[in-house]
Amino acid sequence: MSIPPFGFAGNEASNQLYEQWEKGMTEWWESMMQNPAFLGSLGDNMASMTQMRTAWDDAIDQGLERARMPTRKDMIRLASIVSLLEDKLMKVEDQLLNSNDRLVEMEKALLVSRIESAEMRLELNERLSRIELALERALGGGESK
Amino acid sequence: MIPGADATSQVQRGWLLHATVARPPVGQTAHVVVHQHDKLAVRYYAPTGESIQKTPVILVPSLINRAYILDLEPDRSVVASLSAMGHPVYLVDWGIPGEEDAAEDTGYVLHELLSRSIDRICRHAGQPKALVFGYCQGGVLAAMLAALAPERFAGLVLLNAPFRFSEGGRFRDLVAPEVMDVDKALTGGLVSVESMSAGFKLLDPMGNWTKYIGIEKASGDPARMARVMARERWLEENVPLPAVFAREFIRNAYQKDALLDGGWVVRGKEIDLRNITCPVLVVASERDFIAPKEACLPVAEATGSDDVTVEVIPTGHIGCVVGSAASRHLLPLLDGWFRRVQP
Repeated sequence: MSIPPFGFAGNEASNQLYEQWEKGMTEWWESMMQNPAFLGSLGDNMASMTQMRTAWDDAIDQGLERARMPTRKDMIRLASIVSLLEDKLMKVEDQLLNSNDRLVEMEKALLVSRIESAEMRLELNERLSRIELALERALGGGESK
Repeated sequence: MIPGADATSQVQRGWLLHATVARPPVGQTAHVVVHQHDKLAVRYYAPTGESIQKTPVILVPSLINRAYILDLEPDRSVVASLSAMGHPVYLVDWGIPGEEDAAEDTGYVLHELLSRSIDRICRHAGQPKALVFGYCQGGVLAAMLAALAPERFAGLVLLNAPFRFSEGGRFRDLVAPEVMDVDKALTGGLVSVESMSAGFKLLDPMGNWTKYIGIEKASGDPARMARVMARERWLEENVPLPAVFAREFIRNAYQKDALLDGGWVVRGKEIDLRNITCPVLVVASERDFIAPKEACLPVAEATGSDDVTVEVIPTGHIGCVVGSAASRHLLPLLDGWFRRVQP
């Protein structure tokens, strides 16, 4: 959109007046924000607004109920059920992931033990071979040629 | 000539521009969603660059803001910058709660939403732990979870996150126990955006006027105007809060100061910040009137970590992530710290 050119720029007196006004307003707001009566009224005002909104929502719900239409409360109840179901699914997912973590740990442990047992088997085979060799030598050494 | 008319005219023109100029798109950085639960979505931004890191960096914004505040503009995006620095970045987008989420409390937010998100992120990254970065209320929530379940935390960054709430500035004035009875003011299903927006406007009453002068001044430069309007989106597009969560948070944090003084029990377990033992980086902004540095810095003394770094950046609450201070101070600080502490 086109903005008309700014008409009063550069007027020193005008700017001074504005600055004074802004300073005065800032001070006024500062004093209001320190005023317990003003702050208290803000809190009360918020409570009234909330009550008014609740009353308004209730009135609309009553109208919809009379017209045999789903009310806001019905919709909230349905959405809450969906949320609760999702929460339960999330907990099931947690359990599945944790079970999976444990399975992975178990698989790792199983793999480690397989490797260890294979190494032990190899070592035993080697020892057995060494014993066999020693026996053969011992037996061979005892034979007269 | 009417004295003061030029400034008034500027405000009028700014107001007109504010009402009519289209807001720029936000959250434009390419990503994939790796986890969804209820309204929450976790967005993944793959790392690029030469020195790619393994430990996931999880960004946790406040519940009352849209997640895109950390991806506001293509050239001013925390997620884009960190991923370009080589970090696998995950952004927790809390989504927008509906009335059906009214009963969600702090326990639900921490254990069902945030904790599970961190778990799924670690699984996605194939790493046992993550570096968690919480901004504003997101920092408070991240610290609470780090105190309750520290197992997945390799490091914790708390940016403009208030912990000494009695020093919480004007917002604390608005919700002080003598001002607000939370059981009366925060009833119903959700705390509406309108209520919160009115509260935020009172944090800087004159800013609601002077911002139009800034908009008018930016109107001659399209790039500057787009930047100003992107920030307006941030300010305009608040998210409603589940009333149960809001009551619990305001009562325990702002009215009882229970995070540092003790007594905030979540699902039967009291929050004790001394349980946080991972490295911690506390960052506050010099000119932050939403989370003043006096409210943010005391957490540095409250954790059980023996590796705590404290930094104060010369900027404001929003400027620290989208202003020039982000590229000058925050992002290099984060990059260096993440590289130093990752396992």
